[in-house]
Amino acid sequence: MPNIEPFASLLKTPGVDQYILVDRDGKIFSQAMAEPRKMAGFVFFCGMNAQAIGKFRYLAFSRENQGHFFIFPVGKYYLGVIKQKDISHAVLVDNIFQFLKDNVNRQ
Amino acid sequence: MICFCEDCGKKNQVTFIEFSTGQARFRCAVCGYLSPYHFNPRENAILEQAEIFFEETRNFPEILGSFLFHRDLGLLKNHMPEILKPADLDFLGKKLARIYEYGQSELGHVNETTLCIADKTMVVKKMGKTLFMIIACKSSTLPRNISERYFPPAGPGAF
Repeated sequence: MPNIEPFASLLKTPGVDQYILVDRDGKIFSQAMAEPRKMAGFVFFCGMNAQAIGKFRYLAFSRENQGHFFIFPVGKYYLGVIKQKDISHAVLVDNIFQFLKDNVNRQ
Repeated sequence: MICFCEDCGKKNQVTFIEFSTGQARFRCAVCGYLSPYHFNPRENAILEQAEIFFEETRNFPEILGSFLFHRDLGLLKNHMPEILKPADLDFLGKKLARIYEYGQSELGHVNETTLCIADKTMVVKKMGKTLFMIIACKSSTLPRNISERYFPPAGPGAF
């Protein structure tokens, strides 16, 4: 199980507007997101289906006029992130990977 | 999709379409006869536009391939590398379509889904109510020319 504490600082990562961390049963471990229970189910469902395709790096939903939604596999967990509007897709992905490298993968 | 065989008249749950001599057909599970399958006008227009899309994307080396997937009928058109078999693409299409539609229902206003696996990206665009264009790219986004020409918010070349 990853150390949950670092995830509280995820909001300081440039480009992160909201986030949610769920396990592979859809249970929430850490979150700063509107409608967390609904989003937990969503992240869990999409993460599982993406995992069935293969070991994915991330899944992204581009939305018109709204923050794009990303899902990252983190060990046995899935991290859902809503991107701020004023940052590019690629930069957000790089920032998340760096955050995970600095705070999670090091353990 | 329920269809009736043109020859024996039996009801068929159609999950696969064959394209022979350019015409869409389904094979009757009872008698084996190939009956014509009729797409609706919107789907037909998308199928025609898809052929142009497949031809044009050959000129973009960053696009590895693409395929057209029907939510109910499965794989319709395949322009993916041969290493991927129709059964693989059918599985891939089902999962990606499911992910896309769930995203649409839960998040709203989704216009594209992207799945990044290793150094490849699968971009999913929905066409109309039932069709999905799934594009395998080397980059994390579609080439701008393709995106602007075929998938603008609205436009003459758009699907």
